[in-house]
Amino acid sequence: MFQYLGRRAIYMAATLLAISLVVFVIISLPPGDFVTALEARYAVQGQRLTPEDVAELRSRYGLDGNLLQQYLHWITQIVLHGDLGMSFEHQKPVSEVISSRLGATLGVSIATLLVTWAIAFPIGAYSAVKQHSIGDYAATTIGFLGLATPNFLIALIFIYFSVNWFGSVPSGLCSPEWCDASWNLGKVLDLLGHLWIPMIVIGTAGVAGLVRIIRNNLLDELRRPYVTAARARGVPEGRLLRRYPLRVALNPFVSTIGWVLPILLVGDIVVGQILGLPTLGPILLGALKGQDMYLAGSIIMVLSLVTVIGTLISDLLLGWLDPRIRLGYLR
Amino acid sequence: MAQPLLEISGLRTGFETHDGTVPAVDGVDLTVHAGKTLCVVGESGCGKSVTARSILRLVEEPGRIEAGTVTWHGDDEPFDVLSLDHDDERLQKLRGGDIGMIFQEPAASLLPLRSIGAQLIETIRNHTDLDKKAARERAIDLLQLVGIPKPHERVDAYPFQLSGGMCQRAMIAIALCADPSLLIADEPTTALDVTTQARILDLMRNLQERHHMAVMFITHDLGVVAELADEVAVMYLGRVVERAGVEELFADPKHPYTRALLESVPVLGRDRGRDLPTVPGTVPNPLHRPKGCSFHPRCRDAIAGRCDIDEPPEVVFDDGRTAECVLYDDREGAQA
Amino acid sequence: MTDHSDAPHANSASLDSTGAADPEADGKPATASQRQLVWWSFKKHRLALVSAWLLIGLLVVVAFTEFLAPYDVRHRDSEYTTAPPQVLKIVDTDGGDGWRWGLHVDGYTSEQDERSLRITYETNPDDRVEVGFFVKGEEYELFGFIPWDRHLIGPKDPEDPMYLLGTTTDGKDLLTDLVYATRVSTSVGIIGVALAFLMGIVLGAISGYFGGWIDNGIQRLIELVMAVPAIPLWLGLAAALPTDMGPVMRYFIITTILAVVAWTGLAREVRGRFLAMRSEEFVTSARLDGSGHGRVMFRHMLPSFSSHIIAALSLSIPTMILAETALSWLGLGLRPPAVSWGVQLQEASKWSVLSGAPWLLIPGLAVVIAVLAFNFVGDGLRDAADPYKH
Ligand SMILES: Nc1ncnc2c1ncn2[C@@H]1O[C@H](COP(=O)(O)OP(=O)(O)O)[C@@H](O)[C@H]1O
Ligand SMILES: [Mg+2]
Repeated sequence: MFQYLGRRAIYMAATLLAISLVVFVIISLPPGDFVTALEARYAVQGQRLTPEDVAELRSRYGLDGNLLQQYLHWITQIVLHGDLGMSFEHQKPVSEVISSRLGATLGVSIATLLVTWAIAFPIGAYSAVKQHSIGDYAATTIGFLGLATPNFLIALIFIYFSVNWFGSVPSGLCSPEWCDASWNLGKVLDLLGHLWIPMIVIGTAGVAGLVRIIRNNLLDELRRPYVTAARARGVPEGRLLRRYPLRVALNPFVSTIGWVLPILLVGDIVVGQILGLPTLGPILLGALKGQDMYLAGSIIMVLSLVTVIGTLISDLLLGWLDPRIRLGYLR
Repeated sequence: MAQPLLEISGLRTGFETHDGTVPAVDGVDLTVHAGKTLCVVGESGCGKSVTARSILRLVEEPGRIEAGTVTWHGDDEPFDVLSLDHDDERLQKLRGGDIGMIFQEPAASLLPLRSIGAQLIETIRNHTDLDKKAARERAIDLLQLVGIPKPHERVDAYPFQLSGGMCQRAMIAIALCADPSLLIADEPTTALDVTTQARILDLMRNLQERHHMAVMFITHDLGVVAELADEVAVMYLGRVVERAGVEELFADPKHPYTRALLESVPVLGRDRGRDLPTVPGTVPNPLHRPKGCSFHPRCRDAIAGRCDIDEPPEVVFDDGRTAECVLYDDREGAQA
Repeated sequence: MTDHSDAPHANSASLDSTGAADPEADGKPATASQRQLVWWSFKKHRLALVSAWLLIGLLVVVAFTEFLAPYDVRHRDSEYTTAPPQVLKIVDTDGGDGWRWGLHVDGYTSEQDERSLRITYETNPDDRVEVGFFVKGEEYELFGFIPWDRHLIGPKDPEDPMYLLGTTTDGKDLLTDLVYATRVSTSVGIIGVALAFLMGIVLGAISGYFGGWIDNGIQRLIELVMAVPAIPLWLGLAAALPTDMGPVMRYFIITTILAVVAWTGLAREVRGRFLAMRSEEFVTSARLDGSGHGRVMFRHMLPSFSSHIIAALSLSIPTMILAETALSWLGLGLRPPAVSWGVQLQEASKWSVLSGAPWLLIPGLAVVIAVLAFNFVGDGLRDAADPYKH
């Protein structure tokens, strides 16, 4: 087990390194850098920066030197000081911009993840056990549609009906009267009332994908020799299903945390935009469009970090669920 | 002659596929006698496994048992297994209780996520009313019985921690947990190496003597047949083409297919555990069964105008052995 | 995996052993019949077959875009902005003088809201716009070099409005845009996958064929690339593009970005196939015959799993299409004047516009249909190529 954990941790570190490189490349890609942008802004205000000022600024922000030095400066600032750089648009340190919204983002995503699971697992299992039944066909059809429909399209359709039926679009995570209230039952109910919309929009693709995964896996498992063998020794059908194939089919399900989380986070970009959620999505979009690269890069970095942590959690869960992995017989 | 324990008659099992129904088992009659060993032998794809699975109604989608009876004489009242309800208690008791079954791929037949002890205890508690602790004791005893060293430790091992031979021993232990009167073994040694194979066969012979079980042993290895069998049934393309006592069969094979099989017995140590090497030609796809005798395209003694037109008759010889072949149609008990 | 059924191996072994004697002579009939088998079992998937026809239709649209679109893509009719779709009619029953046959649509009447000053349009049965096939319209060059001015369908009088799917907020014909967008979005998917495939196949083939440390290195690389979440990566790369880039350049760069992020999955697929096959007899025998590495890889091995590859490709295209659509919708992918499904759907993002003009969502339907069609064809092919795995 410890060996397994150690391997995962090393792997995670390597991944983070790779991600940081990629993010740095993204940050450095657009022509010009932070100081150039600053110069332009001052120029608009009629102020001029002397070449000495510029050089001073560059060395302050670690923008002198070659790309490798710049990368090293950037990454040490992050690792040692938690300093993600300055957001040009917001005129604030990036870490401040992000931290104020990270909670809501994670909250919405994790809530959606849990609901997604709770919906997808029974549907997928039912669909596999009752293969070729009407329910199976319905689930499969909806699954295909869910996967084929971009989630912003779902959001748009949702908005169309919402406007035509109710005359408005519900936005934000809370109604004005509750937003500043302290936590109580009313606020929780209000939150749930707002949360289900982003959940539907963000979660549809996830549910569709997971239903497909669980169905295919379970179908595979149901054909394995151990199922016949268990039946041959008289294990009753209900228990047979629960103890044997369902348990094995849970594995790939758990290992999906890694890829479902980013899908949910990206769904947030779309939905957050339309529904005005106080999440990272809209900020990221704004930063990308305005080429506010430190902010954009940092958010991408944070999303990737969340994904990597998600993968780690799913690896740990897998190790706990599956003795083959725990004992190192299966990679 | 011993009492019949299990009688299969007119069994037909087919698989629905896109191209039509594959008649995997096409009218099989077999009898297993109490305390005796029946070996079912034939090339890969002859329908041996499907026959065995049909007995306990384990045939999976898209397969369906279409006709026939499987009569169990082990209880006070004989009954037809195939006409029981799905939730009939007698079916549950039969599966794993009166009839134990072991398979070709021992490691794949055990659930990888649970220890062999857990799976053993589950079966024991299913078929007896032992409590958890007693069941664990019994599980350890059984592991000892099937020759697993250090059963106290191994009881908590996972299947993937054991070798194929050990897994098959564990499977045998599970099959034995309710003292069955019949053990069905579907090529239990095919996936194992030669030495392990011999040990498992030894174990099975010992256990049979000790427990007075009947064994239905499925194999494509005639060497194994010679070692284990009391009676032999030779299958070809979903039918039993010859049935005889083991000595008679080896001394005087009647059906040309049996003869071809015997001629192809592998050279010592070379092809053991693999498909039979050299019966000329290949088993046809059961979907496109040759007209007349299904073996005639590969048969040396085929009579043109007869074997490729008429279904061969089942000839019963004096000593009770049978063969499905026109060669013996009108001269009973003749020498070939 | 030890628990795979032995049946397929038995089959392929017998195929290969015939190939072993003379791979060149026997290889061909073996693959031909293999292809036939795949085709037979593919035909049994009705959904896949229907989808295949849809895809062919899609390709026709891509090839004959200018002819199929009623107008030029730059056509803009400021008289009719946000006009609803018209219904194509063949008989006029509500004119006073009995039935009048002939293809036509109803013209529009407009109304201006007094307070908001917004103009809304409605179709008007009394105003008849004659419609014909192969009508003369704006000039174009078919396939880029055949000058022509006929359009499949259009108003007989070019001054008349014929907007079968309605118009956009700036008076562009939605149908025309959709036809052009189909060309762009589909081709982004196909070219992107082709690029990804090229990268994947070269690395995957090298990796799977040579094995050993080369394989190991490439695998680690793939794992690392896969660990970076794809969608943020897409977003970041797309956003880093210079804003003043021309539409054609942007199209190619966006396609390349999509491919760069997507090649890893294909590379793995190809590698798996190569690994499985490397040890098979006909490959060994071709090597013993003295064929070079490249020849063995691309002449002997690739053809024998082409159906798998086609299936994998077909299943990757929808991902690309969806990614392009999302990027463009967010304003980070293609930009006007380029039209793609995602660009079209941007029109629908403002809910004040959308609530009065639901037809702006029609391009979304095109996305769903195209994605489903590629998926079904891919699934059908995969099942057909792999009859033992359902
Ligand atoms: N799941 C299945 N689907 C279709 N056909 C099957 C299936 N299982 C078995 N068969 C058919 O039944 C025949 C007999 O199979 P089997 O009993 O496994 O042969 P064996 O004698 O090697 O044990 C095979 O040749 C095959 O055509
Ligand atoms: Mg078998």
